[in-house]
Amino acid sequence: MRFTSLAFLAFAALTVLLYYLFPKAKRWWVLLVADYVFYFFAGKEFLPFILFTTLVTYSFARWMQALTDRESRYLEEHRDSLSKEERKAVRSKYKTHRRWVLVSGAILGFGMLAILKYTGFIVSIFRSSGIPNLILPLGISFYTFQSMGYLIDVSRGKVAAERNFFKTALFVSFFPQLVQGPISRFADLEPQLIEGHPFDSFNLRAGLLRAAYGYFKKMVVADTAMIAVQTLAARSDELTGGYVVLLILLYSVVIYGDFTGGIDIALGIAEMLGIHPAENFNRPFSSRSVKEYWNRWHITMGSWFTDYVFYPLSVSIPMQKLSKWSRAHLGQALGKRIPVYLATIFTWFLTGLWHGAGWNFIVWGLLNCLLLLVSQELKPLWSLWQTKFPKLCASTPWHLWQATRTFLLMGLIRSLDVYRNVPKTFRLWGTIFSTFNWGEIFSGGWLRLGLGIADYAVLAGGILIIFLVSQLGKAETPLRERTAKKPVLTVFLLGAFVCVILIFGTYGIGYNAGDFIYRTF
Amino acid sequence: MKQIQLKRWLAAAAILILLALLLCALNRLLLPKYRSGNTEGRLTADYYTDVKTRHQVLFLGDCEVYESFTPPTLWEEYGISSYIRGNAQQLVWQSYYLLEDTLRYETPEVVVFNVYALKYGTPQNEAYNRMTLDSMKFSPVKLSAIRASITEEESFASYLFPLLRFHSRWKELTQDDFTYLFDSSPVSHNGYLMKTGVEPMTSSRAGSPLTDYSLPVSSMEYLEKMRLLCLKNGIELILVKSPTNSWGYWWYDEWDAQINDYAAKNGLSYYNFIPEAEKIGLDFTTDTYDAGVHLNVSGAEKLTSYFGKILRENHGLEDLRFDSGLSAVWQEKVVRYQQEKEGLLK
Amino acid sequence: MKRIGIFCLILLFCLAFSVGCKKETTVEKQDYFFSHQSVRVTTDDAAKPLLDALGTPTERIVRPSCLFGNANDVLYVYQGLEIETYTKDGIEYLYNIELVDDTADWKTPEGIGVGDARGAVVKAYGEPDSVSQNGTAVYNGKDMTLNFFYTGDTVTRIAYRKNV
Repeated sequence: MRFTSLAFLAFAALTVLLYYLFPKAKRWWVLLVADYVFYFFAGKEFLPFILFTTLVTYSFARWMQALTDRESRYLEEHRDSLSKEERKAVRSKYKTHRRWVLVSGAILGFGMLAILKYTGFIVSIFRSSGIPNLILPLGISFYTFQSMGYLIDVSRGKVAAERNFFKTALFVSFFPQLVQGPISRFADLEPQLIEGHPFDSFNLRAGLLRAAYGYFKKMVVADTAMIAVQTLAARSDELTGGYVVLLILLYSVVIYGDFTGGIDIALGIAEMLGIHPAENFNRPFSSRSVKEYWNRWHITMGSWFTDYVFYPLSVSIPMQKLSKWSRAHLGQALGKRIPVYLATIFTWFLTGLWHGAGWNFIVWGLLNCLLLLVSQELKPLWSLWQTKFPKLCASTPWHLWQATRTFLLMGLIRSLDVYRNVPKTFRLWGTIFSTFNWGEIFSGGWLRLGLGIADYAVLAGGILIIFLVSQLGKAETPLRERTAKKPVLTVFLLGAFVCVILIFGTYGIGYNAGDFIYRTF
Repeated sequence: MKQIQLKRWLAAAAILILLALLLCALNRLLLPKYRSGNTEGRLTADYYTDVKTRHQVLFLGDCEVYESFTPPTLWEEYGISSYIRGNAQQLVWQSYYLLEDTLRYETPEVVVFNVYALKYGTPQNEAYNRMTLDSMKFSPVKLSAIRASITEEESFASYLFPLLRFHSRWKELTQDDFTYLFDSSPVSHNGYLMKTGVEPMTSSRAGSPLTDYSLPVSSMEYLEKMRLLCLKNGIELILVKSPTNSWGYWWYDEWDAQINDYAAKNGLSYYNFIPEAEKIGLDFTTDTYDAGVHLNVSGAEKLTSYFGKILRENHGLEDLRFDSGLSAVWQEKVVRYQQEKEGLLK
Repeated sequence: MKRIGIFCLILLFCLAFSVGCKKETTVEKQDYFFSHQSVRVTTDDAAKPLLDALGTPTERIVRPSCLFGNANDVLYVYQGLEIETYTKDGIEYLYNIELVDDTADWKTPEGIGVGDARGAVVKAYGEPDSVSQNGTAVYNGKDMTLNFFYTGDTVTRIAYRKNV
C-alpha cells in the first residue's frame, strides 16, 4: 500500500473516521490495528520482523526499568544505612547492569537490521557471486532507530518504560511515519499516541491541506522530474558534462519533493488524528552552510545520530583516554581535534551506511563529513573575511550566494545516490568541467530526457508554487494553520490540489500512441 | 453567527459541486475520441445510438464480425434488422458481457458469435480493453466486464473514472477532442466499420504448429455462459468462423474440431466459412484490404448475402420490410452506407 | 524466568533470520539463446543484429493488426529458418525464432538441428520441463520457451518462443 495508491487514501480516510467514532480511551487501539493492517498489506512476510523489534523493545525496556526500580527501592530502603560511597557503588552496579541489558537489546535490534540490510553488501566486498539477497522489511531502518532510541532513553532514565506491550507496539509501528519517518522520540510521541484526541475540524483541515500539499510535491513535482533523472542515470555513459549538472538540479527537486512531500503526507494524516510528531524539515534549501543544512534537512535523523552516537561516543571513556593521550603527545591544537574528528567521521560513516548498503552511501556520508570538517577549519578565515567586509556579508546577494553554494554542493554529492557507483560518479563530476556540451543540451538535448516542454512547464510551475509556499511559510504560525482557519478557502484549495494532482500528476499507465499497440493479435 | 456558518457551508458546498462538474468535464475532454484514426474505439459507444431500433440479429466477436458482416446489406437483401457488437480483439468474456449489456435494452432472436477470440484465455491488451470497455454505459454488467478484462498492470478504478488513466492527454489534446466533446454520431453502420481499400492476399502460408491445441478452459467457460444466457432468454445462438484465414491469424483444424464437438453436443449451428470461400464468391485478390486478414466492403457484402440466405432458410428469420417504421429507419442507414461507400470509392 | 525470556527472544531472532534467508536460494531461470555468426540472441532482444547477419530473406510477411494501419509484426522467412518480430517504440524485437526444416542445416548453439534424434536433445538439454499435449518437449526460459517438435523420435521443428 503505497502512499500514492487509492487503497491508501481509502485506508487513511477510514482510519481517521474510525478513530473519532471510538470512545476516547479506546482510540489508540484503532491506531494500533490500523498500523498492522497497513503493514500487513505492505507485505505479510515483513510482520515477523517488526514484531521481533517490538518484542525486543518492550522486554528490554521493561527489564531496564525493573533494574532502575529495584535500584531506587534499594536506595530508598537503605537510605540511612548506606554511606555516600556505598550508594555510589550501588548506583554504579545497577548502571553497569543496565548497560549490559541495553547492549544486548541493541545487538538484537540493530543486529537484525544489520543482517538484513548489510549481509549482501559485506559479502559482495569479498566475492562477486552468490551474494545473498535478503528481504528488507518496509521501514525497518526507521522503526529500528526509533525503537532503539527509546531503549537508550530508558537506560538513561530519561523516560520510564511503557508497561503495556500493545502501547509499545503502537510506538514502534505508527503507520504514517513507518515508511520514511520522521524518527520520533518516545517522550514526545507516545503520550500523543495514547491520548484520545477530541475531534477538531481545524486539525482535520490543517491535516488535509498538509497531506494534499505533500501529494502535490510528490506526484506533480518529484515524480515528473524523476522521469528525466531516470533517463540521465540510465544513459550516464553518453549524458555527461552539462547533463550531470542537469541531473544534480533535477535530482535535488526529486529528493526534495519526494521526501518532504512524503513527510507532509505522514504528518498531515497524523495531524488529522490530533497527533503532531516532530518536524523533519525546515526549508533546508535556504541553508547558507552545510552545517545549517543538516540542522534543517532530515532533522530527526540528524538529531538521532547526534544524541545517540556522536555525544555518547565523544564522552565515552576510550575517547576521553584518547583525548588525553593525543593532547599530551600531539599538542593542544591537533590533540583536541583528534577525538572530535574521529567521533564525527564515525557518526557520518554510520549515517551513510544507514541510508543504504553500498559504497556510494558510505562515500556520500564521508563527503558530508569532509565538508563539515573543512568548513569548521576555515571558520577563522571566514570570521576574518566577515570583519573585513561586514556590509557585504550582511547583504542579501551574499546570503543568496551562500545558499546557492550549499545547495549545489549538497546536490553534487547527492548525485552519488543516483549513479550508485563511486568511481563513475567521480568521473562524471570531472566531465562537468571537461565536457562542454551546453549547446547540445539547449538546442534540444533537454527535451530528449523523457520530458516534453509541457512537462517542464508543469515542473517549473510546481517549483514556483513550492518556493512561494516556502516564502509565505516563514512566519511564526505555519502557513497551513493560518489557511486552515478559513474553512471556505481550505475547501477551495483542497479542490484545486485535487484537480492539479489528478491532471498533472505522474501516475498510472502513460498514455501515448507508442504504448497503444504493444503486441497486437 | 449562525448566518456566517450557513454561508460557509453553502460556499463550501458550491465549491465542491463546481469541483465535481469540472472533473466530469475534464474526464470527458481527456477521453480519446477515436474519430481521426483508430475509429474502432467508437464501436461500443455507437450501439447506444441505435437501441431504439428493433434488432433480430446480434453479432458478437472481434474484428472478424465488424469487418465481415454489413447490416445494411442484410436489410436490403433480406429485410433482416441486425446490429454488430464487435470490437478490436474483443475477448469472449467481453462478448458475453456485451450480450448482457444488450439484454438491458432488447432481446434479439438470434445471436451470431464469431469463434476466433476463443483462442485467448487471459486478458491481453490494455489498449483494446480500453476501446471495448470505456464507452460501455455504466451498469453492474460493466463492472463485471471490467473485472474479467483488466490486465495485471491496470487498475479497476481507472475504468470507473477514466481520468485516472487519460489525465496526461492534456498534452496531446487536438481539435477533435473539442469538436467531438458532445458528439455521439456513429462512425459505423450498425457496428460495421467500412473499409474500401484493396490489398490482395499474396501468401498462403499456414500458421506455425502449436505445442498445445486445446482452446483455453476459461474462454470455453464463457462460451458456455453465453449459450446458457441465450437459452434463458429464448435466443438462438449461432457460431461462425469468418472466411479469412491467413498466416498471422490462422484457424487450426484442431480448434475447429473442438468447436464442432461443442456445437454438436449442444445442438448449435456452427458455420465455418473458410472452406466455403469459393461458394461465397470471395476472391482474395480483390475482397480484402490487408492481404487476407480482413474482408473489405466488397468481401463483406458477399459474405453477408451468403449468410443472410442461411439465416432466412435455416433459422427462419422474418422479412421485416413490411414494417414501414422500421423500413424508414433502415432507409436512412442504407443511404448513409451507400454514401460512405461511394465517397470512399471515388 | 528471565533466562527463558532471553532464550525465546534468541529463538525468535533465529526464526526471523531464517525467514529472511529464504529468498537467498531462488535461482532465476536462464533464457535459451540462438546464435548465428557472432550474434547471440533470444526472444525480446533487438532483431536488427540477427536480421543483418542473415541477409535478405526469401519472403517477408507483415501481419496487419486488428486496428487499421497499425501493423507491427513481421515474419522473415529464410531457408530452413523463420524469424518473427514485433515493434515497440520504433524498435524491432525478436518474437519467435524457428528452425523449421533440415534444408539449411541450422543448429542451436548446443548443436541440435531438425532431424536429430530425441536422445541427442536430452543429451544436450537434459529432460524437458514439460511435454505438451502433442508430444512437444518444452524447456522453460525466463520469458520464453524452447520447444522441440517431434515426429516419432525425430526433431521436426525447433522453436524459440516468447511467452505471451
